[in-house]
Amino acid sequence: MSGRRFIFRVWRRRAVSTLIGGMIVLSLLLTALGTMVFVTQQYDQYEQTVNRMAQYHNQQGSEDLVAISPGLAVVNSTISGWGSGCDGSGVNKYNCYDATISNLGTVGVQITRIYVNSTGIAGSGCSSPNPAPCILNPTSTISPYAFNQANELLNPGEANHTVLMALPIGVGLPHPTTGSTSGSTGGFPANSIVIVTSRGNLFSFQWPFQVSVFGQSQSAFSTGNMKVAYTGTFDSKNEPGPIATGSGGSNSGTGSGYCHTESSAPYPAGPGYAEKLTGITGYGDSGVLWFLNPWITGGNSQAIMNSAETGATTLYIYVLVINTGTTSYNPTAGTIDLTWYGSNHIDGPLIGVYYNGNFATSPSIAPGSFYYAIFEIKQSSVGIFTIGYPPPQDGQNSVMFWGAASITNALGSSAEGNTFFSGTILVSGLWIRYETQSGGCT
Amino acid sequence: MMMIGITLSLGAILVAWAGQSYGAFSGGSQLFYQQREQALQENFVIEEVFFNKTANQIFVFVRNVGLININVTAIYVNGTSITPSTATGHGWCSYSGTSHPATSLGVGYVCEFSLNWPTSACSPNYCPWVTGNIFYIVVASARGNQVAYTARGP
Repeated sequence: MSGRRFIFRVWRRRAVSTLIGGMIVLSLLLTALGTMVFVTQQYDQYEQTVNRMAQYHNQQGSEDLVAISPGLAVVNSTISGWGSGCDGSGVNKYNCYDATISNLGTVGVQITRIYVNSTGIAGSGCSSPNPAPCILNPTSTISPYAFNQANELLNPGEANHTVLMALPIGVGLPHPTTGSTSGSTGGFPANSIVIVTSRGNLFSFQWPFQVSVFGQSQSAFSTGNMKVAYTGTFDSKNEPGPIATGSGGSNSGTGSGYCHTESSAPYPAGPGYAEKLTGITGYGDSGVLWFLNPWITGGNSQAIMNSAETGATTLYIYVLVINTGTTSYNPTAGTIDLTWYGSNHIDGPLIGVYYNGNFATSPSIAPGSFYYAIFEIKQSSVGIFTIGYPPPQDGQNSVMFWGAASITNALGSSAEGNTFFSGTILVSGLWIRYETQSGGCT
Repeated sequence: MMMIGITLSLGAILVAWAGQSYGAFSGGSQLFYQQREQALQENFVIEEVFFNKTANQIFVFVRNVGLININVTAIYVNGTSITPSTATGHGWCSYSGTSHPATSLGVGYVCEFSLNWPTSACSPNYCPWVTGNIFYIVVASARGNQVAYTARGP
């Protein structure tokens, strides 16, 4: 009996030990399980972050902005919701530009900043001693070195979106430099515009646009700034309308519906000025033409030219052309052909070239320099450039003309094109932007 | 009793060891994943580099386009660590001004780092630039991320 009792006692103690051991093993297993669950949760959270960032990077890679010709366009009107100053009025005046951008990507894009870098001699555009680069941040009210906050968002696939930029009146883009300093051989005023998006992508373009020329291996052309001058009732100084008081015209607003307030400046002038070209023998008022930024009158007529006098009206257009080639060439001839919405087309010949401050018929254009190709369009009636239906609304930016300028050099090579006929080569598409302003002169 | 005591002792040792091991394992994995997550969430770019040759300065614009704030801890130009003289920005761009940049940069904000470059003599590892020189600029964050930018000097 004693032996059985001993075995029973040992068995009972062993059962307790086994029970305790089992509990320990079970607790270890549960702890391991808990640890595995915890680690799995961490890994799951990490994977979520990986997926989220992969999606973010996908969106980042889906951004695609491109600048559309003309890249930048001068704005000379008050912008609703952003304040005045672009029209040259008030204490604070600005050089304003519309950047035309298309979003070719599949995601919406937010522009957070724009950098503008100018090349050329000191003082040209956004180069020293002006801030270089010009840094433009979005603002709700107009201020120097800013762009309109209301324009910062682009929808997926949105085309021809405009972003309004404001620079101080002393900083104009481009600022032609040819011949403006002693010993300067000049060069075309190039501006590098870098657009930064909220996802960290950079998109850049050069302005003025340089256009490639098919078949031009040695010399090339590129279009840039463009202005117009009129002669009709008055000379081009006063037609259309008065230039800013004390700085140019003396017409006092009579006889014309134009309302230019640009300050006048001699050649070479920035895009925000009425530019005076002299020595154009046989044209204008004793060889003087004042070139202005193109725009139209408001009201019912929507006319580009609305002179009070019946008679001949002449429209002059200069196109800034850049020799982007490596050799000099002589522009000997050329034509301009414009077609505008809802009407017929108008055309005229190249009457000469304004180069280094001189007017000539066929000067030698050095590589890397620019010149104004001046075209003349004569019409025999008033109100000739009336815009067809639908007219642009007040303050609206509209492209009124499509067309092409052709220039032939002395070697017979021609840079020409036409935007309307298929099978031809577009060399210099002219997208003349007009801004309407109703109510006459203000 | 002895068996129970032995079992309890061994069990206590085993539980303590296992708990410590599991704790270290889970803690380590948590730290690893958290750090990896944060590193993944960082995203910053050098959006502009500008050279001021007159003042011998290089301006580097760094924007935080990620999901969390970052600390810029080092800037290298051609392999040499450069301490910025200033760091300014619109919004959150907190600069310590010490030997390390250690600049806190909020989400969506941009910092403009101004790097002084020697005007004449070499000082000590880098020399005045020559027009056309290539500058390889690297900005590093505290979480180990880097962005690089290659620019040609004016």
